[in-house]
Amino acid sequence: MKQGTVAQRWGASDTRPRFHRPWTPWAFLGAAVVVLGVFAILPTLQVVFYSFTRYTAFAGPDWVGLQNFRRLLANDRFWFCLQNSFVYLLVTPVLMAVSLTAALVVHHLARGGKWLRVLLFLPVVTPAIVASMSFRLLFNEQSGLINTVLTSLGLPAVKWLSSYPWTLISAMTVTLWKGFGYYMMVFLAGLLAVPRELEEAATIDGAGRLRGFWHVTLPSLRPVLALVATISSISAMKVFDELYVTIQGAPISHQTVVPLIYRTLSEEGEYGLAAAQGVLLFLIILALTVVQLRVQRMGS
Amino acid sequence: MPANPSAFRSHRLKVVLSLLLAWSGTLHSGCDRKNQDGPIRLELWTLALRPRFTHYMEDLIARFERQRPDIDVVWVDVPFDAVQRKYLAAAAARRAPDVINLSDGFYSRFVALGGVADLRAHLPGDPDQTYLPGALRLCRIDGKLHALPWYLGISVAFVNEKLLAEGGLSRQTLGTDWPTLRRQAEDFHRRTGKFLFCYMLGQETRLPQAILQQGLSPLRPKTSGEGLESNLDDPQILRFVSDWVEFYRRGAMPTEAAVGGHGPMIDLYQNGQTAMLITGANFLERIRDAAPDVYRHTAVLPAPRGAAGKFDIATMLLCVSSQSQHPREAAELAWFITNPENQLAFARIVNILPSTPASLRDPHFAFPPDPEQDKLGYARALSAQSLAEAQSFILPLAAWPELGRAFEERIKAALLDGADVARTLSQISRDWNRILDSYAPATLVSDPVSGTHQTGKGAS
Repeated sequence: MKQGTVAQRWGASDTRPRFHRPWTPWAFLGAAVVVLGVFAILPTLQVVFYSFTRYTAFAGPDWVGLQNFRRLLANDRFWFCLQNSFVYLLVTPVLMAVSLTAALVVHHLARGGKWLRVLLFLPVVTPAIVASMSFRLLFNEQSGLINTVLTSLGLPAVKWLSSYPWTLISAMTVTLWKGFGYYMMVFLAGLLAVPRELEEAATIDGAGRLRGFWHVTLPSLRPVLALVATISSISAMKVFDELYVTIQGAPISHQTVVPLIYRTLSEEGEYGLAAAQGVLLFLIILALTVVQLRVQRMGS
Repeated sequence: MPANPSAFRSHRLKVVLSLLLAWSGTLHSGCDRKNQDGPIRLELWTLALRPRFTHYMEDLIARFERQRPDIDVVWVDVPFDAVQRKYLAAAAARRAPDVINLSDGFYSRFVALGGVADLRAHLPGDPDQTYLPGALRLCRIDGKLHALPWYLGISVAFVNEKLLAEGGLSRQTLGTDWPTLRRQAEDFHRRTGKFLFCYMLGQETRLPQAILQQGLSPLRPKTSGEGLESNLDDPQILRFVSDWVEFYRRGAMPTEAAVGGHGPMIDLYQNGQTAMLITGANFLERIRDAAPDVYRHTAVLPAPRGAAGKFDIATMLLCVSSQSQHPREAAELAWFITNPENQLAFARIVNILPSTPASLRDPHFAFPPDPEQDKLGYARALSAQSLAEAQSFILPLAAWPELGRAFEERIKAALLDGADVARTLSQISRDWNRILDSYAPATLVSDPVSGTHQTGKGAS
C-alpha cells in the first residue's frame, strides 16, 4: 500500500493542513504549557537564579555570583555526599537483575502469575516512609530481626544504622525492595512485546531456555533495558526518603546529595546554597544520562 | 485581521501579562495579614502543647484578648521536631507568626538569620526585674534582647531501681559524677547486657555544653583581641572528649547515643534498656503514662554535675518575629504569657519550672512529705531547689547552633567511623574558626556566678 502524508491519509485532496487557525494548537496545548510553565519551568529557572544569590528565609536574594558554588566545592561534606550518590548507583544493576528475574518468573508461570504479580507489586504502592520505618525496625542493631538471626547463627551483629557503608547498604535495600516491582512491570510489558515467532524459531532451531533468553529475549528487551537503566539511575541519584528515614541520625557523610540539599534548605535555611547544590546535581544527572544514552546507542 | 499581525500578538500578550500581574497583586494583598479596620491579628506558635494544654492556652489567650480587645490572637501549635522547618518556610513565604516559642538549643540560629526582633523598645516592663538572670542571659545576644524566657527544665536523674539492682547497683552506690558513672556503666553492661545510661554524644550532641559544664571553655579570645576562636586544642578538652568517645567505642552505651537524640533516649529508658535517664523533670509524667511498670520502679535523683558544679538548665523562649507587622503588641503578648502569674498557673499543671523568681516562691515548689508517694512533686521540688545552682550551658552567641552542628557532624565520624579524636577536634576547630569568622566578632566575659566563661556583647 502506498504511504502518503498525514493530510492525504485523512482524505484531503491537497497538502494543506486542516487547521487553518494558528492559535488552535496553542489552545489545546495551553493548559499543559501553563501548568508546566508555572509549576516546573519557572521554579527551575528560579532555582538557577537563587543559586547565584545569598538567600535565606529572612533576607535576600542578593546576587553573589559564583560564591555558593565556591563554598560548595570547598566543603568536604558535599564531596562525601556526591561520592555516596555514585555508590548508590550500584543499586541500579541489582535492581535491574532482580526485576528482570521477577518479570521472567511471572511471565512464564502457568498458574498463579497474576497473584504473584500483585504480590510483587505491593512494595511499590507501600508509602516510602512506611517501608523505611519497617526496615529501620528490622535493621535495629540491638533488637532487630536481622541481627537477632545473625547472632543466633553465631555471626557478628552488623551496625546497619550507624556504620559506613552498612548505612548506605541498608537504605539501598529499601530502594531495591520498594522499586523492583515497578521495573518488573516495565520488563513484563517488554516481554509481552517480544515476537512469539522469534522465540518459537529459536526453540525449533534447538536453542535451550537459557540460550533462547540470551540470544532472542534479551536483545529484544534492549530498549526496555535502556529505559530502566536510565530511569533507575536518575531515581538512585535523587533518592531521599529511604535515606532520610532508614538511617536517620547517621552523619551527613553517610548520606547522598538530596538529603544534603534538604538539610541545607530546611534545617540550615540557606536557600541560595541549597539551590546551588540542586543545580550541580541536575548537571551531574544530565551529564550521566547523556553518557548513558550515548553508550547504549553505540551498543545497539 | 490587523495590518500588522506581530504587533497584534504583542498587544494581546501584553494584555494577558497585565491581567496576570493584576491577579497576582490581588492575591498578594489578600495574603497580607494587616487588618486596617478590625482588630490586630497576632499569630502565636507554641511547641507541642496540644492537646494536653489546650485548655490552659485557650484560657490564657482569652484573658489576653479581654485585656486587649483590639487584638485577636490565633494560636497554632507546632510539633517540636518541625518548628525550625515550618518557621523557615513561613518566613520565606513572608507569613511568619508574630510570636514564636523556640527552644534555647536553636533559637540563636534565627537571631543569626535575622529572624527575631529586638524586644528592648517594645516591652511594657523591666525584664531584669521579672526573670531569673540565668535564664535571661541567654536571651541577650550582641546587646539586644531577642527573646523572653518562658518555662525552664532542670535536668534530674530518673533511675530504674529494679534494673539497677540487676546490675549490682543501688541509688546509694550509684556514682554522682561522670567518671564514676562511666566505670559503673561498663560493669553494668557486662553483667546485664543492658545499659546504665545513654548520653547524647552524636545526634543532638551535648558535648559542647558538657565541656562548659566541666568548667572548660570551648572558645577563647583571638590573640589579635577581636573576636573568638576555637579552644578545642586545649589538652583538657581533648582528654575529656576522648574519655567519652572511648567509652562509647567500648560498647557501654547503645548506638542511640551516637545517632538517636533525646526522643530515642527516653524510649530506651521506657523500654527498660537503660537504667538511668537524665532529662527534665516534666518527662516523668510521660514515663508514668507510657511505661507504668518502669515508673513504679523509678526514683528521682539529682543529675550528675560537671567539675564546675552546676546543673544544666534548659530554657523555652518566646520570640517576636522580625517580620511581625505589630512588634509592640506581639511583645506584649509574649510578656503576658511569661508573667509570673501565668507561669505559676502553667507550672501547676505540668512539671516545669517558671523563669520568674516571683512564681518560684509559691508552696507548690516545696518538697512533698512523702517522696515515694509523690514522685512528681519530689522531682519538681528537686529541680526547683537545683535552680539556685543551675545555669544554661548554651553560649548566647549567634553562631552557637552552627558551631554545634559542625561539632555534631565531625564527632559522629569519630564515634561511628573510628576517626581519631585529636584529628577530629582539630577538624572541628578549623570548621569553628571559619564559622566564627563569618559572624560579627563576639567577646568572652567571665560569668560572675559560675566563674565559667560566657560570650558578651559583640564588638560590631
